[in-house]
Amino acid sequence: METLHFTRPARAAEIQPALVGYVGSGDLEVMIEPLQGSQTEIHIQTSSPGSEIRWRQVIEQIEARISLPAMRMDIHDFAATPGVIRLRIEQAIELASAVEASA
Amino acid sequence: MNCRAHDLIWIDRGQLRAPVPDTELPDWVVNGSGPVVVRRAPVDSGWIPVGVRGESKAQRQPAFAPLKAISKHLDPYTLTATKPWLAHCERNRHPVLIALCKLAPLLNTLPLRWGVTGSLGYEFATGERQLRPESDLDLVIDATAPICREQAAELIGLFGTASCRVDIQLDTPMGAIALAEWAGSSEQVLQKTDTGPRLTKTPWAGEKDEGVKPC
Repeated sequence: METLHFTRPARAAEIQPALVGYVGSGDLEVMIEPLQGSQTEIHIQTSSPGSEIRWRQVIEQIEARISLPAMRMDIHDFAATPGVIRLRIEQAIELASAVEASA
Repeated sequence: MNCRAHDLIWIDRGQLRAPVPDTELPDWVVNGSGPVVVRRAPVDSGWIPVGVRGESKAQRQPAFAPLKAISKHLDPYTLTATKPWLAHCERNRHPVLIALCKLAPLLNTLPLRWGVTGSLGYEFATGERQLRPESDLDLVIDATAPICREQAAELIGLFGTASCRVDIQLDTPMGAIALAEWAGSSEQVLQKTDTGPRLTKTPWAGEKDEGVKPC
């Protein structure tokens, strides 16, 4: 397993903890915890070596579609494709932000 | 011939073509031997999408195989029906085989078709050593007929705990979902389809009939 760490600017937002995904080949698990301040910390454990550039690209693609809330995001990746990664992260953010939508 | 993801096909390696036109496949693919594995991607007019396994885990190469040149075809259900684990020398030692020996009799009591995929399926089909100490047990259940979420939860309960990680996929006509996710509380589940992954509440229905209940 390889560990990657990204810090990205984010907006302060009220979110709730969220856990989505699946521990299995070609999939990943995404956990979100609220974080004070205006940044997002992303911690990734991945079974795909040398994938830092690909992860950076996926995160940039998500930022282009969604304004990231301040959060800590922990990812356990089991060689998921970029398409699966994007869907899972967006699913987790949607679930974490559900409290915001209903407030 | 109807090829589905996880099926093994035997073909002259020289007949394979690279996934991107005008590019070459690596030498280890062309010079290697053994069957290739059907992967989930659109079929391209007579060309089946396949994955080629190399010696190391990092060696995985997507390719296309011409339907006409396939010499043999084996699906995981046919492979599993002969109970090949009974003849495996590590059936009492390797966690994956111990898990399978426990699960197989339970699965065989159910009115479902199931099969072994992944490294162990490849090993059963070829006799080549593929299992690693850290291998998972990969299984597929034919879910042509819908399996509702309550049934999925019952299956998970029936299987209990295992000696290794067990990844059971439900193969629906629209693509594959993880049994454990379908049995869980998440409203939407991830489905791997021939045209890419999607999140869905209705894995047996297409995008256009999202209102259809699974059962």
